[in-house]
Amino acid sequence: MTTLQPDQAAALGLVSHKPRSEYVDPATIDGTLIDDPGKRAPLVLGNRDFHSVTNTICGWIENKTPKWWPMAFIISAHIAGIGTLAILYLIITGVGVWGLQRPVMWGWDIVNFVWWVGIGHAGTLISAILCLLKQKWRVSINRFAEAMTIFAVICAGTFPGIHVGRVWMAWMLFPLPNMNWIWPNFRSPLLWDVFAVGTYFTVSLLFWYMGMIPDLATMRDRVTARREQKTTLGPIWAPHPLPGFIKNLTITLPLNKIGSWVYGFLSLGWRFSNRHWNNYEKAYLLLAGVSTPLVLSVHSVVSFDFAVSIIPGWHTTIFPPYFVAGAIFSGFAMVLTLLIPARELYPGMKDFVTARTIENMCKIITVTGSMVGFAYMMEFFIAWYGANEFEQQTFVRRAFGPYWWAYWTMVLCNVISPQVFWFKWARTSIPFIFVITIFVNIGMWFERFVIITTLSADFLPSAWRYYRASAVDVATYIGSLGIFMTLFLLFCRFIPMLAISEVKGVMKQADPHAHDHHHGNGHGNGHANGHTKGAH
Amino acid sequence: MSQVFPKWTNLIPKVIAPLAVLGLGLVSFGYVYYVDNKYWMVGYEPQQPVDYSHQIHVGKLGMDCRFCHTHVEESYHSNVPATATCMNCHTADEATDQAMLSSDLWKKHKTNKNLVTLRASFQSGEPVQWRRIHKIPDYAHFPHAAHVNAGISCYSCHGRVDQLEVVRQNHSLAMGWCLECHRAPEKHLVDNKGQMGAPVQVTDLKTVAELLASESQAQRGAELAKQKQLQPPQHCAACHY
Repeated sequence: MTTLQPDQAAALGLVSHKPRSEYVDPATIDGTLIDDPGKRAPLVLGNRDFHSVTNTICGWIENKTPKWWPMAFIISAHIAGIGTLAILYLIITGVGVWGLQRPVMWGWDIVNFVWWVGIGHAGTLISAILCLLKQKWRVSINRFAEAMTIFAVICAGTFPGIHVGRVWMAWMLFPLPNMNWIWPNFRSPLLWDVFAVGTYFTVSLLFWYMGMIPDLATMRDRVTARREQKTTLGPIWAPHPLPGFIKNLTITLPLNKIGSWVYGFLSLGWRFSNRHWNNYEKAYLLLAGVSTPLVLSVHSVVSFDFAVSIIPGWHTTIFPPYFVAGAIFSGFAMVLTLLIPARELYPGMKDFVTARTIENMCKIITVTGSMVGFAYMMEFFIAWYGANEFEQQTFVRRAFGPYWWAYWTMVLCNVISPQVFWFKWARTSIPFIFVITIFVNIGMWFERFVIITTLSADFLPSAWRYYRASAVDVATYIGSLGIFMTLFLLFCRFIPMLAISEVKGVMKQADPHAHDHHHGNGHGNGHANGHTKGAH
Repeated sequence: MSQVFPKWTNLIPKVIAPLAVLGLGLVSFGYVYYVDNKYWMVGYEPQQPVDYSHQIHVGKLGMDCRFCHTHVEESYHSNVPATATCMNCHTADEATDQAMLSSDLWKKHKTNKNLVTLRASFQSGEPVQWRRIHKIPDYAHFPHAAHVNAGISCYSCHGRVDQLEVVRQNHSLAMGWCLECHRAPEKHLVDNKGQMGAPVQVTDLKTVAELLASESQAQRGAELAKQKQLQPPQHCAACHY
């Protein structure tokens, strides 16, 4: 079997209904890692027809809750609760509970904000830019990455809101008319940031939701067909001393009916009609066009928060491109961090998220990681070449000063670790990739930490101070991870994780006529849809 | 496809629509309520313990504001006069006012209830409990001296007090109202130092009112602002410190 080419194998699989194990070439993991440029790797494996795609993706929602899910959800929700308590404590007591001290008045809060916003960049890049570039492998990860984007931006948005200290004045972030006749400073990048992140969140949410409508309608139809079935919960597991009637308690709920209403409401009356698909395709393309500049603008504006100031080490023109590269870098790492476990935990997901998709993402990580490494080098070069001794001392202090450990952690994680993906064995070994993505997540957090600790040695040496985060800082950060994971687990449980209609569009069955240019442009949904309709 | 929603859900838009109208109404009401001058106490004119008439003293007799509000040019606070200031004129010392004793005015002077209250206050040393009308919050500072000396007339904030029987609040005193002038001081500047001809008294409310309403004010005010090198601050710490 090892001589069989993978697409040939997939084609054989289609006609002969052989079990997957027989036609997959073990040398290329799942048969998608072909190096032959004349062969195109299949994007969907497992000898599937449209109906099995719908069944598999909807099955993740409809089947019994996986055993790991409740435990993961409880842990995440508790961590989120700790974060919420930390924020509550902050609001009740004041920002003094954080480790902020002159001259470092931007601490972990800003580090976390920039980190989360950066992570939130992968979703739009995958959905919008890769859509316009017709990278079809994106269809199996775009929904997933967009969800991650939304949740990351929610976490990010929390931090400036609580960072203002008097949270009840947070409305002043927005230019609202008021009897004081005052406005936020329109010349301040902090205000631009509000607009940039706000626009990004709105557009990402719209894009995500709009792309989901056909799949929500599929869910609606499937759950409506079973809506008279009631769900019985219990008897619950309980510790031994509990009386029997509590242990044997069962509750019967009309969950299918509720689900039918919720999916029905969210799918906005979608009926899979031709006109609906036509409008959908146009709207999708328009939103992709609107989102594309946002991928570049949002983190550029975030970098202005630093670059527009006059602090040596911040006031540099390299910041916007370097922040954007870093954002995409960290976003892809976070997508992989979530995708790799999900791919193992959900049966059948490996047929959609192929080894080649993951390999592609690893390549993007290496490219953007190298850009970030280049930017680190250029910062040092310009500090030397610019002959400004304040700038020079800032950078020498970064690498060899009191925060040397943060700087070298950053270099190790961001610059060195992604370089292993030059080796094929590294970018095809799933556990190894997972470890590297964790490294990248850590490294990108440290990058922002290195940037804000520049403040610890400002213009007045008598004010210099070593910045230390407080326990509340740590709890808030960990808590934001909990909020993120809680939202993400809910997403996995209740929303189709893969864009069903788009996945169908890249399958072989969607394009049986090689010369049919009617279906040749766009991303091929149009053809799949008729079948989607038929599948129900 | 079977029906997803039961029939009663057709009611939802019918319920939401009036609620939305109600919500919109509430928001509009809130806006109007807080923007309205009444919320900002414009027109507040409480009954004072002594019915002192600015109309008689300033308008009719032509007294200068600074005769009573003596420290307005050197203090943050424009003081309300002590009873002793009133006693400069409204004395009841029969030993020094023999010439007037027989006049009708003197009789009225002796029995007028307001002046009786005043004299009682003077004799006992208990100040008259005047009720404060113009009040800005403690976190905002308003230096009277800086404004008066820069050429902002009493008129700009307090209006035509020389026509008032009872003092009333004339403007909202909201922060937006302060900034209105700080952003365009030329609308209110008068030539109190005589830089462009004969000086104008900031306390001459009638003249000032006419000047500020005149068409030439914008140009004259701009020239004055330039000559006085005025740049009214708009940063937070200008007033909140």
